[in-house]
Formats: sequence, C-alpha cells, structure tokens
Amino acid sequence: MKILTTVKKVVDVELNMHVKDGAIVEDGLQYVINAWDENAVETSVRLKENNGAETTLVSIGGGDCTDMIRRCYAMGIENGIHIDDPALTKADSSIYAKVLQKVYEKGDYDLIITGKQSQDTDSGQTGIILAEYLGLPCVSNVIDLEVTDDQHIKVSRSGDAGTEIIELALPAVIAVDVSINEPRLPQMRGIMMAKRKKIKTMDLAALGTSSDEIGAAAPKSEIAEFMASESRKSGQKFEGDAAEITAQVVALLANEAKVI
Amino acid sequence: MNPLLMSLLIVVGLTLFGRTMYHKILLLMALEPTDRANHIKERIKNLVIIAFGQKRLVGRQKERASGLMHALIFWGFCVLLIRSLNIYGEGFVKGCHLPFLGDNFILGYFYIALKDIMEAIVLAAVCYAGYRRLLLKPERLHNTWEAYLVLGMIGILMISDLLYDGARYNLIMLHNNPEQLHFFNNPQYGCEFLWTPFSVVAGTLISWMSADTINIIMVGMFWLHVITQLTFLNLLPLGKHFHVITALPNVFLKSLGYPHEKTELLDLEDESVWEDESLGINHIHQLNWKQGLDLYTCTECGRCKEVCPAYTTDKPLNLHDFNDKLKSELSDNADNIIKRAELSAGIKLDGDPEQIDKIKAEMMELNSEKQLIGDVIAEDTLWACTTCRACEEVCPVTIEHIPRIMAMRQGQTLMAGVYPQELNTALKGLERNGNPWGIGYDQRADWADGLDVKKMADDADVDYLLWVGCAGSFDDRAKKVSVSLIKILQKAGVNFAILGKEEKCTGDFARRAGNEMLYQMTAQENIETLNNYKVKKIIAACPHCLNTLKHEYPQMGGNYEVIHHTEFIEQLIKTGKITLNKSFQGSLTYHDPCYLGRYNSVYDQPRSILQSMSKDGLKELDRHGRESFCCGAGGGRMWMEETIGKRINLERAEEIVEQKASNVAVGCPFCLTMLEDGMKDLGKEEEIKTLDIAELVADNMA
Repeated sequence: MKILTTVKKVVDVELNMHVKDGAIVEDGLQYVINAWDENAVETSVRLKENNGAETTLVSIGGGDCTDMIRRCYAMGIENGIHIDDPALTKADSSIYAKVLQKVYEKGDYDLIITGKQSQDTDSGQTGIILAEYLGLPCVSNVIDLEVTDDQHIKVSRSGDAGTEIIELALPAVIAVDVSINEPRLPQMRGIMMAKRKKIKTMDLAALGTSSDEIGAAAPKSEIAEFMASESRKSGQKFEGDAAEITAQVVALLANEAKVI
Repeated sequence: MNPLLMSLLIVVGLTLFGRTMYHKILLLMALEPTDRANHIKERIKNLVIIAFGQKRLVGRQKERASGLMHALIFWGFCVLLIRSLNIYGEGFVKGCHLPFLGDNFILGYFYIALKDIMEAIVLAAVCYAGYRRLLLKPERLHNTWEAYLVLGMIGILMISDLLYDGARYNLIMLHNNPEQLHFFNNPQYGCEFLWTPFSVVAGTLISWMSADTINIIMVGMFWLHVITQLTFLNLLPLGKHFHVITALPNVFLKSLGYPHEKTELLDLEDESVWEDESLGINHIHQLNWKQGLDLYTCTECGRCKEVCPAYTTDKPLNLHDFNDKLKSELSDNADNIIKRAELSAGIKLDGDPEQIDKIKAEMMELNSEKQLIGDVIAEDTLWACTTCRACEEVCPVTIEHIPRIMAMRQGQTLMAGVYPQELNTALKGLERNGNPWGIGYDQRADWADGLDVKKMADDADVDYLLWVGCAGSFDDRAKKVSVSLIKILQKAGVNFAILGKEEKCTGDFARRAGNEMLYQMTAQENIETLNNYKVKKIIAACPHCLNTLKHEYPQMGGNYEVIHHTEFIEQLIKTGKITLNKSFQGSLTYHDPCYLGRYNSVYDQPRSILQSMSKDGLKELDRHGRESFCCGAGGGRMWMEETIGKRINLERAEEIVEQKASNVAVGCPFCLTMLEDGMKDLGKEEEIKTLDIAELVADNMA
C-alpha cells in the first residue's frame, strides 16, 4: 500500500497573535506542524509499521518547511515532497487541492491521509475538495482506521449521533481527527539519520502544471482582513450576604444588561 | 614455625588471589574510560575522612550502633594488618617483628596492647553483628549465608589469634617453656604479656590443660589463623565482601567538585555514534571502569534503598538489587567484554574502512544477549528514580547511582526511543515554546506586567540577572513566588533584570529524562542569549535551574556565578539591605529541595532566614538536611505519571502532618506544587500552608 500524507506548516496557536492594519503581525511568531497533520503522519507511520505501507508526505509552502519535513522523517515517514512556488503564497483550499491532485497523479498512491483541518484557517476543506477532484471516496473526521485487505479499509467517523463505521474501497481519501492517535515524538536517532535524507523539492513547473492551470493566479477566495478578537472582560465579584448579592445582581440585570 | 608450610600456603593463597584479581582488574580496564587521576590531595582527604574515618557509618545518628560496629571491625582490621605481617614472619623466624615493633622500642608494647584490645573489640562487634542479623533483623539488610560465613571467619581470626597468644603465655608463664615464644624479641622474656589482658584471659581459659595440649593448641591456632586469613582473602573478591579490598580505592577515586560524575556532554553531531548505537548505556560493556568498581564495591548494606523515595513508596526500584543485577550481568559477560575491548583497540590502528566494519561486526557479536533495559533492569525500575541523591549521600563507599541511571535513560531515549510516553507533552512544549507547559513563549514574562521589572533586552547593564524559570513564569502558584521575589529585590535596591521571553527552560528535565538532544538545543540557545548580554551573575529562583546553570552549562561554554534566591536573600539580610521582623507566628518547618541541598549543599541559608523571622523557631522534620526526603518531582518525574505504589508527595506530606507543623517552607517550585498537592490529598491544605521562603520573607520584611 502506498500512502500520501499531506502536511501543512501553520502558526503556533499557543502564541498570542496581534493584528495591525488588518494583517497578522509576523514578528515573534513561530511555525509548527499542523496538529491534525501530525496525527495524519502518525496514522501513516503506524500503517507502515503494522501493514508494511510505503509512506510519502507532501507539503506546500515556503523554504522553512524542510525542518518540519525532516521531523516527519524522524517520526518514520520515508519520502518527502516539498512544493515550493511563489505563485502559491495566497492559495486557498481549492488551489491546494489542485496541487495535491497533481502530486497524486504523479505517484501511484492507494490512500491519501490528511488532517481534517488546519489550526490556522480551520476551513477543513482541502481533503474533501481533493477527493472531489480525484473522484475518490472520502471520509472526514476519522477517529479509527483498520486495513481489511489490500483493496479496502474500514474507518470510524465520529458524528453527532454516534460513531459511523464505513468501509472504503481504495484508493480513497481520509481526513483524520486529533483523537485518532497520540503522535510520537521523533526518535533522536531518526532525527540524526533524517539530516542526510533527501527532500524532493518541486515548483509548479516541475509538477507539470502552471499557476493558471491550478487557478493560483486568481484564487476563488481570499483573506480580506484579520481582526483581533476582543479579550474577555474580567468578571465582577459580589460580596455580602445572599440577600444583598441578589439585590445587586437583579439591579445589574435590570439596569445594565436590560434583560429583566 | 614451619618455613616450608608457610611458603606453600603463601604461594598458593596469593597465586589464587592474584589470578582472581587479575581477571577482575582486566575486566575493569576493558570498560569505558573516565579520568580520576587528579586532585590527589583532595582524594587523600576523602580517603582519610570517609574511608578511614568511616564518616558515613559513624556519622549518621540513625545508624550509630551498626556504624560503630562496622567502624570498629574496620579499625581492628587496620591494626591487625601489621600483626598479620608479624605472624607470616613468625612462620619463618621465631619472634619475628617489624622494625621498631620490638627489641628495645616501647612502640612494640604499645602495638601489642592495641592489637590485643582491638581483637577483643572486633570479637564483640562480630557477636553484635550476628545478634543483629539473627534477632534484630533490620529491614534494609539482605540476609545471606555469605554474611554469616564472613562473620564466622572474622570471629575465627580473632579467637585463633587470642588463643595463640594465650597458649604462648601459658607455656612461658606456667610451664617455663625455654623456647623463644615471645610476641617479639625483647630484652625481658615474657614481660610483653603485661600489655595483653585479653590474650592472658584466653590463656587462663586453657590453663588447666597439659603443656603438650597447650603446645598443640598454640601451633594449631597459628595455622588456623593463617589458613583462615588466606581463605578469607580468596573469598573476598567472589562476593559482596569484595568491598574490603575495593572500598578504599573506590572512595579515593570518587567524583570531585560535583556530588557525582557529571552527565557527559555527548557529541550528537558525530554520525558514527548513531550508527554504532554508542550513546548512553544500553549494554553492560558501556559502563565506565569506575562504575564497574562501584559494582564491585556494593556491599548490599541496603542503606540506599532505605532512604530511596521510590523504594519506600513501593516502586520497583531497589538499588541494591539494581547493583546486584548489573554486577551479575557484568561478570556473566566478562570474557566477551574483554575480547570486545581488544577488538576495539585494534580499530584505531587499522584505517581500512572495510576492515573496521568487519571488526565492528565482530564486536557486535560480543554484545550481551540480554537487553540491559528490559531483561536485566526493568523499564519501570529505570524510570522510577527521582535523581534525589539520597542514596548516594548515605552510601558508605560513595557509590554513584544516579549518573548510571541517567546514562541508561540516555541510551533508552536516544538510541532505542523507548521512554515514558507521557513525557511527550512536556518535551514537545519545551521543543516549541521553551517550557514544559507548552504555553506560548511570548507569554513568559506576563506575570511581571505592572511590576516595573527590567528586561535585559531593554537594559542589560545590571548587576544580576534573575533567572525566573518556567514554573515561576507559567505556573500560577509559582508566579506568586516570583512576585514576592521581585518585591524583595526591589526593596533591597538590587539592580537586576529578567530575560523575559528570551529565557527558556534550562533543559534540566529533558536531560534527566535522557533526552540529551533537546537539552543541548535549549542549553545552546540559552547560553547564546546569556553570553550575548555578557551575563556574569545569576540569581536562580529554582534549584533545578540553579544546578543546570551552575554545573552543566560550563560544559557548553556558559560560565556564570549562579546563586539560589535563598542564598541571595540571606546575603541581603546579612548586609542589612533588608531587615526581617520576627513576626512570623505558628509552627514552621523546612523541606530541603534535593537540588538545593544534596546537589548544591545549601542547607544553612534557608534555615537562617526562617529562624530570623519566626517567633517560634524552626522545627526540623525527621528527614531533613542531607537526608531530606524528595517531593517526587525530580529527574523528570514532575512530568510523568506516578501510577505504581504510594505517591511520594503524599508520603512526605504525611510526614509533615505527623510533625504537627502548620507551615512548611520550601525553596523550589516543584516541591511547592508537590507538597501542596499532597496536603490537598490529605485535606490539610487549609491547616498546613506550603510557602516558598521568598513569600515568607516578602511578608515579614520591615
């Protein structure tokens, strides 16, 4: 089984983000592997270890992706493709999906594993659009996966009413949730060995396509502006006995909140 | 007596002994190198105090009786060693003695008096030892037949020598035996017995026998003594009593300058170490020779496990068992280890890469069949250690347990990738945001908002850098300590700054969890930051940070004068920069943090501060100072689950509750969390307050 795993480098959401003039202040930000994609990598590596799959990852982004790709090597991924093209700076999910479609077509993959969303834009569309482009079956929000035979996998998808268990014929696309597994930390030995491993870096031309073909020249959606979310005001503390407190609260509800 | 028989016994006895020792030494030489041939003066001082002075045996109040017992046997042996030389001489020449111990020298009389008394004392000590083992049965002791055999042999050595002299006395005094039977040649035949009361008593016991019988006893006891002694010598290297021979060199060769051998700074860039899997300890042959000597020296006295927080709370770490298992693995693989070392020596001479690969493959074949972690030492055992050093502090023969455990953890983490997975969250937090909590690095100095604290980035022209640490920066409870500390420093008018978001975890917990790579990465970044600002003096608000900054960063080019905040506060008080009111009310006790006390010998300063503010004085816990009991958070355990046995912090909290202290002072954010959690578990958090010394000082400043 050949697996293609998609990985995106995103801003570390542990950091406080600041907005200035409708754009995020880049200074002081750091970038990390998207949490859901880390689970996708872990899923692929486990399939390699348990079912002998061959693992390849693809990442679209600037030159600083290589550290992340090497980190995934250290987790156990075997091959890495890095798509780096200035035309993709403002790409949206559908453009990413187009690029990934090209990558898929160049390889002979049986399964595409993506994270179900990324922690920067949270749009959760890339995997699904990719499946649409490829005409492949797709399940999102996958929380468990089992290989039934060479041609089929069985996945669990978490839904509002319970868990659905779905059997898929390969090739297929799945988008995994963070609850599917606990990603390993890269092995130290792997990190050192990964330093010597090659990363296949390609631009759109090398991929056999162009900015126009994938629609990068005119993205269908674009981020217009960032706005800082208002920080939560601190709560109000009431002191006194129960009757006094009740009176104060009622007064506030009536006069300030105007709900009673 | 009989030169021929004596020669035969000496030749056989010493040849066998030499052969055993040769193999034992050859094995040590085949282990990894470590340099201990330095600071000879200090080494001699240790030898005198710890070994000859038996400091850790007689110095511990809890073990005074058994300590004295051992010390007396040891001192007896030292005295009797000279006597033995005389005895062997007597095998060849009657009345033989060493220079100055006979003829007209008074020293000879003093010596035989001392020898006589020591023999009686040793005999009494052996009886006590037997009584202790058979009837008192202290829990730490591992009762084996070997122990009784050795006690028996020591007893025989004493009795045979006393009887030998007693018989001599009888023959000279009662039977007017004309032969030269003195202890030594002296002008007044037989007068030496005035100096040997116990030999005379022994003689009196057999005085009713005939001269012939007494003569037989004299000769018999002489040879019994010699044969027992040579047998004893040959038995020593085969069991735990090898320490009789190895303890002195082991103490002499102990680590200096830091309580134990510092964790080696591994060269992670060297590709061959990853290919050869030679980082840390994953195989028995990777021990260094001093660690091998430690194993030879372990006497299985069990003091280590008795004070071990892991063992006493039912974790699977039993240090004496740990040593025993390594010792067996070492001796099981002795021949292969020696062969391996020979092959390895060959590599350096031969430059042909193909040949080298061949030799390396051969060496690989000689690896032990057992997995060191897994087959010999269980994983849970390895990870149970909190690195608190209580074991090392009480070990009479200065065995260094922790460096070995740390190297094994390195082997597991770096080479095998096997370590407690619950560490991942903290490790990932450290990797990304420079703190085990994983909170954004940009929020590191949020606690200081509004406190008017300088940052190095704004003004690096300060006298001190305050190293806040991750806990003091991110943990809500510890942040209050940081605020108190700022209050004190500002009141004292200290010119200081913090690094703010440029500070990162020192890497302590990563290193102690064996993750040398993450440690080095984070240490490197910190050292670059510190050196950029030309930092000279650091006040550390956490003993773990203190220890790493002070003792481990110099390995990577970070040299600073580092001092713990309690040490600094004490200086401020002494120099009158701050004044404390004696206003603290309520019973107060102090919990020594391991990395402040045992690792950095800071015991007095925190106590002095507390005493100067407390109306009711300071009440010591049962386990305090050098023998303080760990809170359970050291050695990376802060970030691991504690699922086996009783929780260590609970054990300590219970001890504090039992002592009826209503306030417990600490000097470490980890201890603070652990003890406070322990109190919460016991429902005592309202009655017993856990406070950092900085908080107490801030509240009681004039």
